[in-house]
Amino acid sequence: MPQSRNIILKVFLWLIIAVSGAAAIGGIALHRGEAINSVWFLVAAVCVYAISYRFYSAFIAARVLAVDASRATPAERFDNGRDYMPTNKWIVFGHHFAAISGPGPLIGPTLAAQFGYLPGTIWILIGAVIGGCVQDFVTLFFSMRRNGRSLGQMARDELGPVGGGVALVGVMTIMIILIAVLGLVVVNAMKHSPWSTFTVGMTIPIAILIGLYMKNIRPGRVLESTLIGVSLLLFAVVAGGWVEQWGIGHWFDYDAPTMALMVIGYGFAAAVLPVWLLLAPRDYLSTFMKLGTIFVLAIALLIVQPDVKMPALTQFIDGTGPIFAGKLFPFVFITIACGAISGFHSLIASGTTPKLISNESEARFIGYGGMMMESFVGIMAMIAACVLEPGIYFAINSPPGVVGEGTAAIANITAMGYPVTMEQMNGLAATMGEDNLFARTGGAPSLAVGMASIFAGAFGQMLPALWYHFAIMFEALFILTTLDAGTRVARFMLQDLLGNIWPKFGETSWYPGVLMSSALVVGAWGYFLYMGTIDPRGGINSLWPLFGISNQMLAAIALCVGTTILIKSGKLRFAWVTGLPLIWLIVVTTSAAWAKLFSPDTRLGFLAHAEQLSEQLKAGLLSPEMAAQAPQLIFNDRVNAGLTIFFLITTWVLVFETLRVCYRELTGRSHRPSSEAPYIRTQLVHDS
Amino acid sequence: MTAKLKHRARNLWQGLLTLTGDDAYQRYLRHWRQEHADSGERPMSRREFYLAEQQRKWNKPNRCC
Repeated sequence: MPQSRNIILKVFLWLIIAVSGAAAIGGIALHRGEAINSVWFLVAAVCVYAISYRFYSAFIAARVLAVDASRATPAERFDNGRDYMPTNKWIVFGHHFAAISGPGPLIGPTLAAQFGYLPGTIWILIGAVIGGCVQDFVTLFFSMRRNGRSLGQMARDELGPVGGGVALVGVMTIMIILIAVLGLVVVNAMKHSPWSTFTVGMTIPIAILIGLYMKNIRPGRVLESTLIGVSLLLFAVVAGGWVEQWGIGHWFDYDAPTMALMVIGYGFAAAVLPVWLLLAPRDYLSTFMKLGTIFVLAIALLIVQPDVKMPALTQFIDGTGPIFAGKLFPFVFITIACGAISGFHSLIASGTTPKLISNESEARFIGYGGMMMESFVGIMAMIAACVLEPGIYFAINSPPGVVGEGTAAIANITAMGYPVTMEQMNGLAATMGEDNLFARTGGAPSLAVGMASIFAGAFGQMLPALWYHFAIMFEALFILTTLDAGTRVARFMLQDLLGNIWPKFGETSWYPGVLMSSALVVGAWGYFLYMGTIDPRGGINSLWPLFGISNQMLAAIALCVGTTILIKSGKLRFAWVTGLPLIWLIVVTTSAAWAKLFSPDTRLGFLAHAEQLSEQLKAGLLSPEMAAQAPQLIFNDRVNAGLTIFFLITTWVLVFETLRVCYRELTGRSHRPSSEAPYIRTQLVHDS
Repeated sequence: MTAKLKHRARNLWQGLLTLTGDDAYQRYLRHWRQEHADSGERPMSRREFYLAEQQRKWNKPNRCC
């Protein structure tokens, strides 16, 4: 019988996938010694994704959510030819992936490589298939069943006004921290680097040019405009290398604080200028670049199959790492948010995407599958960081306040057991067309060096400097897009919030209100960014964990909403699907926040560090330069501590709200009507 | 065979235009003619539509980290 033979074949195929996946994971987990080939990582990742998509996401779709292909989606019911519109699933997938994938999955894994390749890799894989993909899929599905309502609205509907309010304020704070830390990453890549500064700076006039072209000459012709823009960008990468020869290098050579002020000024301009002029064209360019580069990186990895030189585990799992402080638990789970589970996605999954899906059955591919793709980007970033010699990786990423500068850094990092020499660092810098590559904390430069070596290996050993600056430009391009878009959204939220107190302020067309709210938002992230650049321990050490905690907190909000909806719709026995990742996130964020607050280790705890600094200041132990900055740094430690307390409180308020609502529901004390839109049969003829 | 190939290529090209948003205005016009043609108003011009779409897109979280 052919049918039963088919089934046997399928079982056999999935057995092979399972066995190869298990072998690859076992290989990377148990491997010790010299180097391990990156193909092991790719095989492990693909097998884990294939199995969890085929079985776990199918289980969630069929049993937990009860996806119903005969039900009309909001795209069909409210079709207006614009934001509500039934769209081909591949196109929705493309839009959704382009929206969710930002610089996060590139930076987090690069930083987490400090613990060795293993912890980050395992967390990216497991965190995604059990947590991140589930969050995205469930949120997308519930929003789709509620006419495409946003996460904030769903939180208000399901958890009441407290939950809704917490969600709104949470989203705004995470934006502020996110923008500050991303800004810091670009600043660290561009400081004292005329080539990078020129190239990244050129992205602004190029975007404006394209903006004018798309508004006045060829309105809405995205494809041709983007192609013109991309060729100009590539030319800017090359031209950056001539800046020194032209003798105008000093025009583009700034230290980190000055660079931070320029980024702040740019952010303000971008927030108040019309969107068509800068934001929209920049986004078209960055989306195109992002998808293209990720694709090319995957191809290059397959061709080169580089060796991963980082050990599986480093001694820094005990919390003594130079790049950021904190033990393996909980900090690997905080450092890698995007790529494993990112709360921010729930905003996209409850925004544009649910209004485009033409059939409910496609939500699994788009929600679960989209996040799998992002997780894969995280794996590639992990590989790119780990193909560097560990000594070089640490020299690029360690801040001078921890390992010292120049020769001191070389000696300290070598003493940690990761040998590196001055000749190596100088040679590398010369190859990459830079003066030096020390202390460029933040992940972008080390990732760029890794990518440059992979690209140069795949497409001819020439011009690694061009590849390096291409990688820097590509990362800066979409970091700046996130910065523009985030500032703008935070501004709307602030206007909305303050509009409750002062209605005039809420009018988005009232220009003084726009200017004031933009200034407030830019001032808020600008403060953290600037403080990050004067902090000798490198601001990444304090800002990145705050970002991770806030992003996971947002994921916790989304999972609270999801769990509540599951329980309210009588699916208590499946509540673990969102409940388990939720509990894990609460454990992780709470212990990380607790450590950042109260750890006696001065590198880790905000309060301990503030105390140590003020004692040193009183005792006159600081250099005059440090003594001048110390009061600011002490104040900043306390601000960070306050923010951490705020995150802790909001998370727990939300958890108690969820428990309260679910308890009342389960004991029959209250039955809120379901906010789900009623069933209407689809009229669309479906071709799959 | 070539007809099939041509058909495929045209589909692919059309998909690309939808993905980039190049054909958004045509889709808007098609929808407008179907639903609002007898309203006595005129549809937006290509430029008006483009500017309005950019406003709509960027007034909410649209890009992630």
